[in-house]
Amino acid sequence: MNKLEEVQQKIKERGYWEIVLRPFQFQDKKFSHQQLRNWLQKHQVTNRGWYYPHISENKDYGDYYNVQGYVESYVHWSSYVENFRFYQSGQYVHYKGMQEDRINDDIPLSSQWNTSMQNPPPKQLFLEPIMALYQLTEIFLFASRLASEGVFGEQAVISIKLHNMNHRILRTLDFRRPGFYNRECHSQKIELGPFIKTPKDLESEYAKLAIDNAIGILALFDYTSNTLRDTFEKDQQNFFNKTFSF
Amino acid sequence: MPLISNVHGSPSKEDIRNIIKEEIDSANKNNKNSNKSNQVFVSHSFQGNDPDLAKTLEKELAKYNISAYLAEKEKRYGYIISNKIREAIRDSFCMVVILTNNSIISASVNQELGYAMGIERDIIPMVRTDIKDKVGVLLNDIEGEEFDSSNFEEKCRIIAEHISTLPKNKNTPSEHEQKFQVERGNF
Repeated sequence: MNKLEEVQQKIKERGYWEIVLRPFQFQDKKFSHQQLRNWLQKHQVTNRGWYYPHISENKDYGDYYNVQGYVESYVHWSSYVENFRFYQSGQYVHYKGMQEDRINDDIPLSSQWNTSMQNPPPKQLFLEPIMALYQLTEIFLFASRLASEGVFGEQAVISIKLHNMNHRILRTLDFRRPGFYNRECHSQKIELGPFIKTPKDLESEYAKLAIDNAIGILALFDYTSNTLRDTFEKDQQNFFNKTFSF
Repeated sequence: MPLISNVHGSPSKEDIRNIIKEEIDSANKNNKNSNKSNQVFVSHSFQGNDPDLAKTLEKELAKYNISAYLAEKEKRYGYIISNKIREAIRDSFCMVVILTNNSIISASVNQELGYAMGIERDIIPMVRTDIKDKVGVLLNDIEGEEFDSSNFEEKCRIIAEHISTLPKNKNTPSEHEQKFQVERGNF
């Protein structure tokens, strides 16, 4: 098994995100490899220390290269295990392991955060709601940026799936936040979308789409709250301002 | 009289099991053919008299032997639609969306519409005349029927007649969707 196959296997053996962004209409070999690379570098979302998408330049942990029909990147470092392909048609497919499931892989997640702000992670598999919101914000923002370049033409199709979710509990690692405790998901897979959006829609709605979908995910853990949207709006603003506490 | 007999003239347990299995398979097959391939998903709001509009459309569709799937009222959050609704939309060969003042701001109608567009089902909007300027940009290019309170039933008849002429085998991914899937291969 080569390194790429190892990464692919690692991603799918635990919880993971599957993200597909594509044009509504298929057109083969529409873009050059160089265009794809340029867009990835120009539009990756850099609000967090680990950019979205992560382009793995360090060959010790992954790779980034051209293949006939697409560019590909994979990485396994610390709690991050990812693999994406960006096709010359404009289709972008990304598998990303849930960081929550790899807290103690290589370098503990806790060492990357302010431990005084953290609850201890539970023994059971869990989903961190604020991390989910950040992740969704990165996805929709990245989609919006690609759409603004004309990658998806007149309409983009966005589909997001969260796999291996059954019996996962909701748990925040931020000790200041009450609630969220021990709500359990009873769906093995959570599907968001497909959403059909024009570039203009995405530009104006990406932040709201991320919040709507984060709220939707929490509802599948049977968690609802009248103040959740306000809370998430503040969290998202912190994300944009890079003033989040973890 | 038993359909299958063994040498002693009465059906064996194996024969009975086979008969039952064939009956079930046949029933499932008929059920699938008669209901799902001829189903239209009716997307509507649960506010005001919109449910009554949906029922009127259901009756008109029934006259053309087309079954209508009307979602039951249930609370939904964000942009996630239930598996039951996804399945119903996938099993429908087209969607009629009843657009009124209530439905254009309905989260569930917007979710259903987005999902149907995502899997490339035919969408037929029925738009109340007084809100036609508020219909989103994605639906502007799609031909539909305008209605007002005086002519809804007549418009439903026109829609039902039109739907009865549409091809029913829409339960496979569209041409574009298939090409993107082929491109991904096993990835």
